[in-house]
Amino acid sequence: MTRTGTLAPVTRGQTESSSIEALYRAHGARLVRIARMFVDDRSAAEDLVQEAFIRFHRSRDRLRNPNAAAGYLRSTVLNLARDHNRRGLVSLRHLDAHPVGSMGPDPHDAAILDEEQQTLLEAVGGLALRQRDCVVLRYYLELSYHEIATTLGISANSVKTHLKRGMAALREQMEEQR
Amino acid sequence: MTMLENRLRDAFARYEEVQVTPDLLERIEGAVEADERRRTALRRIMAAAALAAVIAIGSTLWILQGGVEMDWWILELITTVVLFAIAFFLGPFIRKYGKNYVADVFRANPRTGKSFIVLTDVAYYLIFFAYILLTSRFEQATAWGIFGDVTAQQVQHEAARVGGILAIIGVLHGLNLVVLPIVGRLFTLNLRLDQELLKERDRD
Repeated sequence: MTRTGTLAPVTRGQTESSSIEALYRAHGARLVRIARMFVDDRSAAEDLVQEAFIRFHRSRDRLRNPNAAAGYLRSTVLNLARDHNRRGLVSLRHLDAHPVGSMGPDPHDAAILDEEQQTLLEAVGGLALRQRDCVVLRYYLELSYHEIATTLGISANSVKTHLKRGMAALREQMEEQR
Repeated sequence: MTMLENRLRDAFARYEEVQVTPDLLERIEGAVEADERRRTALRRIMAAAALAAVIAIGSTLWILQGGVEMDWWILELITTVVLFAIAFFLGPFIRKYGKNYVADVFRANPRTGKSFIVLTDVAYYLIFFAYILLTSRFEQATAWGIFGDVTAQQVQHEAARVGGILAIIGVLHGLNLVVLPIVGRLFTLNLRLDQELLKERDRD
């Protein structure tokens, strides 16, 4: 996978199964990890990634630029994660168990994070949705402003604004913690 | 690069250690294939249903009329079926795209949001069915002609029936979109007042 997360174009001759496989091998694990940052547990994160691949498969013919596959998958995972957390309207039981926007790792994952990192990730989870998306895409996937803008369907200037505000909020929260 | 940016990168980098279930690719490929099969089957069923409807209507006309000219009641019936089809298609469509909007408006009290969606559905279907019953005709209107077949006036009337329900639902949903944020705000205020009262009671 390239630093920007793009994928070499999938040619017409490739079978659908192999194109899914190629996409998964290039981006699957990172997509699960992104999803994991936004939802409560790993199996839910994997379900979201599975759903994102199904949606990609349905819309693959409408995708004008084959290089946009990774961006499409990323933005689908982010949208699905947002819907998953909003599902309080569908599943209140789930909502009661996990506050919306919780970014705290599950007990297994917590073992690999030290206390300060956990606090920082929880602070990221508490950011406004757009700010949180921008921070994760920028500092986890190392995407450029333009790539983040394409993924989220907003302008590059908005990305800069969200990042600036998000980082300011994080700085403030981390200082409060001390 | 600031210290906070470095910390963020370090914290996110630890997520690289989170393992992915080994059979995820297999699951994804299976799910994609199952989805494709399901969609193909659905497309075939819909095509078969459309073909069956065309054959049924064509045969009925041919048998009853000896041609494709229709009695007035056949167009009336077709329009009613179209209205029911619109009702059953529009309802889930509006719910699908409105759910996130309602979730945002009622994010402070999701239980109210859930009830709101159910009650809106009930209101929607009541309006639709009432409209269909009120606009259905059981005998030919005198203005439509005297020979019992379809006339331009009846076609205009049936088009107005379909246009009428679309306009009613459109206006109601437009109002809903504008008014809902205000209602959501009021509910949030009520919730806060209740919480403040509870706190006061606890203090007393």
